[in-house]
Amino acid sequence: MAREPADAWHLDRQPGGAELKLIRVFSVVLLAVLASGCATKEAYDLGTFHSTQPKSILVVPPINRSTDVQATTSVLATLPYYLGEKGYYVFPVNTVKTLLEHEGYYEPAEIHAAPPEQLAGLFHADAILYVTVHEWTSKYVLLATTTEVDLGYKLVAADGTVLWKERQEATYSPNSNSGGGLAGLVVNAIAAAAERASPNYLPLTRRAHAMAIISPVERLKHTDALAYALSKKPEAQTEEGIPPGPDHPAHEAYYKNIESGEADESESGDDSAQAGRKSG
Amino acid sequence: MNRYLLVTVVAVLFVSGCASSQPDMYSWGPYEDSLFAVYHEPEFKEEVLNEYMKFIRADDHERRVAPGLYAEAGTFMLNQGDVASAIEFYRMEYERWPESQPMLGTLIDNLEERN
Repeated sequence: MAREPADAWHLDRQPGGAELKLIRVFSVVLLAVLASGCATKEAYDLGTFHSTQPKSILVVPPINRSTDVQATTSVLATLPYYLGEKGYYVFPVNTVKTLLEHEGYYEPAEIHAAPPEQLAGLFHADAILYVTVHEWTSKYVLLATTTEVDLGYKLVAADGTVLWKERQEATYSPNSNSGGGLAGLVVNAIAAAAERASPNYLPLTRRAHAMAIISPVERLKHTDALAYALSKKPEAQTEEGIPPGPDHPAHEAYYKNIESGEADESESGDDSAQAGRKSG
Repeated sequence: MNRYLLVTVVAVLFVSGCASSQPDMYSWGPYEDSLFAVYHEPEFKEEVLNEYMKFIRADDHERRVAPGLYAEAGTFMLNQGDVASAIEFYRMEYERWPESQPMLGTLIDNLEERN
């Protein structure tokens, strides 16, 4: 069953002539240069995360503040991939949901309000990831449909200490790069109508998770393959998102980096670098 | 025009080659679609679950099956009333992922008592 309409960021689905592709190649090269150079987003201070180093993450059912009933499922279904590929053991989300219901937890609000020690204790999890869906809407304007999601993430240790927070918006417009002219307009209209009829949220949720959880360079792997190929792949991922987990190949190098960084700082007497805090 | 085509072809080959040089660590199969169908697409649920179980039972996985996926297979079986299969898959998760043992140990014990 084909449920995924052609979307705006898959390189292999870009229509258009060879010249358009060439322009795209050049602009992507430029993007890669820019992307590898700058980190414009403020990162959460990972000090506590680094000292806790959780190995396993319990993802609990998300709170839904939108009116779309598919929001929480989409979030739940697509999170394990990003956390698992980042090197953490992710407890099976559907099994967890079932077990929580067995324990009397049916409402996400109840689960989010329960003491973290209690939840973590049920599963022997090192950390709990709470997600809140702030927004999940499709807007149909003229011939375009834009679907917007706004997700809040909060990762806490088993004892309740906050390890990481993030707030991530993502938008999705099908076929925004298709060729011009009347044909393009008709294609856009059909795609827009189809999107409104049954918005496909999985690619969009994946994009949100990719932006929130993984580093800028890794992010390109999921959104722009050529830029990723051209970018410098760091041995250790730093800055945004969650650090690499124990099963990730970059884990060792990352924490060695942290340790040597701290050693340098304690020698020179500096305070550790203050990254900005993002409120969730 | 030929020159443009050549550059494009080279670029595309470069992309596809490089994109595959950083593969996923794990094999995820139709996991995400399965969850979505179970919750929201009752008309597809049986078909998608069959695909998922086929994937789980296959013996030719290129990469390790992702964390949690055997356990999820167990839960799907449990929901269908197949306790024996559920135990089998929970055991597979238990053996491969130490972090799952506290949770699944209890579950397996309880199910075996029942069975």
